[in-house]
Amino acid sequence: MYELILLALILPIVTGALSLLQTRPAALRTVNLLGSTAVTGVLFTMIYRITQENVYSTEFFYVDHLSAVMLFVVALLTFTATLFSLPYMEKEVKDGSISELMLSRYYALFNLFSFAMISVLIVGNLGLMWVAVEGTTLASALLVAFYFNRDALEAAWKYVMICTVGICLALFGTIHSSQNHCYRPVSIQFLPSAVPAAVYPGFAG
Amino acid sequence: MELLTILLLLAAILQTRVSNLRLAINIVLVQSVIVAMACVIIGIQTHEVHMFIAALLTSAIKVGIIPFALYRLLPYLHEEREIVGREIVKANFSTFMTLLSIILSYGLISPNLPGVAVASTLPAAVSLTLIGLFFIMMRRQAVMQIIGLITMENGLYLFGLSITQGLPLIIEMGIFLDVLVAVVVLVILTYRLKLSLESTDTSLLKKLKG
Repeated sequence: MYELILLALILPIVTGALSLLQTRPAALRTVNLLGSTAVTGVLFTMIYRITQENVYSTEFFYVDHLSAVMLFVVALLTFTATLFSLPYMEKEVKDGSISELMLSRYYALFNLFSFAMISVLIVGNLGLMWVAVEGTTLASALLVAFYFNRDALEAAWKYVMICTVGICLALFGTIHSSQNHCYRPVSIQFLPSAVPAAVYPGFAG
Repeated sequence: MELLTILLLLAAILQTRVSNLRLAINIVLVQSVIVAMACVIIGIQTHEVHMFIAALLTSAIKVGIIPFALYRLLPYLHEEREIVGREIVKANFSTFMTLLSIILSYGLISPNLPGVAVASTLPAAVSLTLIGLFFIMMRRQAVMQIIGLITMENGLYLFGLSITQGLPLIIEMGIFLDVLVAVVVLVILTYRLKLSLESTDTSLLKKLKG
């Protein structure tokens, strides 16, 4: 299981790095098709294994059935998005909308995005999960702004601002919940002091 | 520690009156320096080495790289500034909201909470986060919105400092890395906005609406 998790994290990075080094469109397509097929295979094997052994948890990684459901979605999306990207980006290059240099950047960012999405689902720590979620936002922000024309910039600016502010507030909650010996760091004095323990189980301590 | 908190809130209030971009970056730089100093003080109080590493990271990233990137951006943005004049009511409202959030945080957060490392900075941290949020909402210049985001991050960092004895180092490093990458991405976007729209006024971005 541990090897599978490492493989699922390393494969997108390797594919992305190879895409950055390549400039020929044919080679880029082959590398990405192979890479995403391999990632999907690894993810499906991982999902199968987790249905057998229920929960896998170490210091840094945690996979359970909920992660398996989400991993299934991610695997399916990564694979089909790669299948869709190949002819689409080829057409864009042929139309002259983007250069071949931008093509390799597209595939590198695409793989970075799938790396971030996979790592959100398998890290075993809320703080690291926050880091990975922010990573998905940043990788996809550069994909949203990919053409760097007026509309793309507007969409990317709004996307980054709204997502980053939202994720900042999520960090607020993450820090709260990480303080598990004290569920009530912010006491709101206007509330009645005797809150039923059944409503807020954490308050009982 | 109390003095640092007061200086931090003073800087945040000053920030709401500023329309010059360079001055605003200077103020946020001072804010980050204060946060790094708070980190060092907590490190001295609790005798934890990892607080000093965190302080070093804060000064490297929030005092070093991020302001450097913003200063590098400024020459491309000549004659860009936050519009005052018509917006003077807005600036007053922004200051009012800042003061209101400070009063509310100090009023609602009780100072003697269990399990909090440094209780005196906790309300300041919460209000700094809110101030950053209001700053992003009130300002239209792209650089000003980036500064609001950094203010928010500073507030959150101070919140983490005061409520826990510091987060685990690997998470802290991840957070710093994310903040750094976020600001770099936003600086790239601002530069491209200037190139293609000849302005970094985000109120011009109103084509895509739900």
